Amino acid sequence: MREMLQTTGAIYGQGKGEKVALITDGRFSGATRGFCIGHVGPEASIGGPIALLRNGDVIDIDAKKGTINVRLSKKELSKRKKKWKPKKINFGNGTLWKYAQTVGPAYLGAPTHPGAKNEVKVYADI
Amino acid sequence: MLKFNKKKLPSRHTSVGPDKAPQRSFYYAMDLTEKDVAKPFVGVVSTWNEAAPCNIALMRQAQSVKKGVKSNGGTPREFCTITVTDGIAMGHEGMKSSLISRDVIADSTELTVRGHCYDALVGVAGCDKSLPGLMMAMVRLNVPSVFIYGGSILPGRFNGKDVTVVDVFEGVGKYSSGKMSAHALRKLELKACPSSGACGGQFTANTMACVSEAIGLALPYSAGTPAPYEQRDKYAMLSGKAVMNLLKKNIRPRDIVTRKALENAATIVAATGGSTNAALHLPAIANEVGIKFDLMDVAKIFKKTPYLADLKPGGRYVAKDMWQAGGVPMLLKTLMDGGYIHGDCLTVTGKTMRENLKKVKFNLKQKVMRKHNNPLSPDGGVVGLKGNLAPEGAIVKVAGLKKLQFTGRARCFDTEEAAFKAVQKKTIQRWRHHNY
Repeated sequence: MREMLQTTGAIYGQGKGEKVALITDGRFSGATRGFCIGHVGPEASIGGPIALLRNGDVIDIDAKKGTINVRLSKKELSKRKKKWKPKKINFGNGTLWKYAQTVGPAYLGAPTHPGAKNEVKVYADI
Repeated sequence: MLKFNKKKLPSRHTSVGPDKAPQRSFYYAMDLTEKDVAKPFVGVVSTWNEAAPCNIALMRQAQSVKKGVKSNGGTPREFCTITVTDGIAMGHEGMKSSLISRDVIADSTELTVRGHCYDALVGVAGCDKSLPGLMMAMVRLNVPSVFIYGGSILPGRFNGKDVTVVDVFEGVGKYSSGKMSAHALRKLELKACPSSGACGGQFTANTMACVSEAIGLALPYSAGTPAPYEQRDKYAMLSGKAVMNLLKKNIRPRDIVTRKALENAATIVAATGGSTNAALHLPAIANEVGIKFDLMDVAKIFKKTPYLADLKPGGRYVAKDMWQAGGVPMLLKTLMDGGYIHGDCLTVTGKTMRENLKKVKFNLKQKVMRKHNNPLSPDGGVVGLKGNLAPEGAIVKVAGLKKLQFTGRARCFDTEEAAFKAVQKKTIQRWRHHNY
């Protein structure tokens, strides 16, 4: 889940901060300015709707109502989903591979372990 | 000075009884006396390293933490862990290491404390992932803990204006679109970062620093003083003292980080127009307590919280200005007066948020923070989104935006590099189309 200050900074620097919206399943630097939507879930690597978008699809974002929709029918989305194939991951070893095995979804904070709900004994009480 | 009986503390496993003579030998090899070894062991973790200015002043502050621990009956054991600094990892494959580092920071801190059976923990962090990483470790281990931020950088000065590293990132965009000369960009990059400390705007480090006070894991005012000022070492020393009080009273991170405390944390993020990354880190901290507090829970708080602090990037001021204007406690106080902050949450002072804020008065002679009833905008700077494009949710920072609605046609990229290239070549234009 990369942070995208370089791209958002460049869009803003070109004076297009409110003319171009950036939508990503990645995240942003706190320094990001402009119309930038992040943490989109489910993410593209597992075939979330963001992976099904094509150039020219019309997207409506309403930050007042709290909505983000693409003008595509359920039928069209599921048709595209059937054709979708996961991208090959660049990391077959090392810590990036390990991370990919354990990391959870962005809306839960990208946790890499089950958390206290699965705790048997807290360290402090050893 | 406080006195402790180690018989019930984790460090009895490494320092009490005849069986532990070899372990004690190791401690004597590091200038500790028998008296020192008989005291509780307090891990003092900093994310000091030479990766970036965010972390470069942390070892200095860790020494002050240790003074505080020693002065109040403990024996400090300092250690460092890693960071990945987004300012340098940005815009290339290196960024893939960034978020992972948060969990490695938490895991490595957990392992050091577990492996050596430390009784308490003070964490000093100065960069985007190290703040949540250390807070996660504290809650996970649940030994009495105090967090302290390493402080913000001072703003640079360029063409008569305060600037931060973000101006340099945006300068790259200005340069590529011909609005800035190579000479001006060079001058800006030389001036933007004049000292140690984490990025100066309300970016992730300063956002999470505000969180550290709001959630109750850091002493009031400890987030504010800029990194290069030795004044901040006083707070480091007091954090060391405070952790010994917590150990004496057996007040643990999970007594502090409750659902209400997480709500307080989300509230200060919204009130400061803080980083969207908080919507990732707060659920992760909640996971360590075993509370489900997800992106949309954070978004709910964002929706009802007034946006009060006029901080960069959406606004005008930097962390140093907020500190001089009255700091995090002043903002918490006005939020509490407005009913946005739970006053009954316990904090590392051993007192509640309400007790901590009792004497705080709102300074009207400053422009950085507004009162709760006179906000910059009535709801928070960050909004949660849901829809057929994001069934699990998404997030957008609206602080500083003029329009809240947007319709556009997609241009799809599989990688950040491809998107950046297209932006640089100026092939991204608003698609003029009368269909919407």
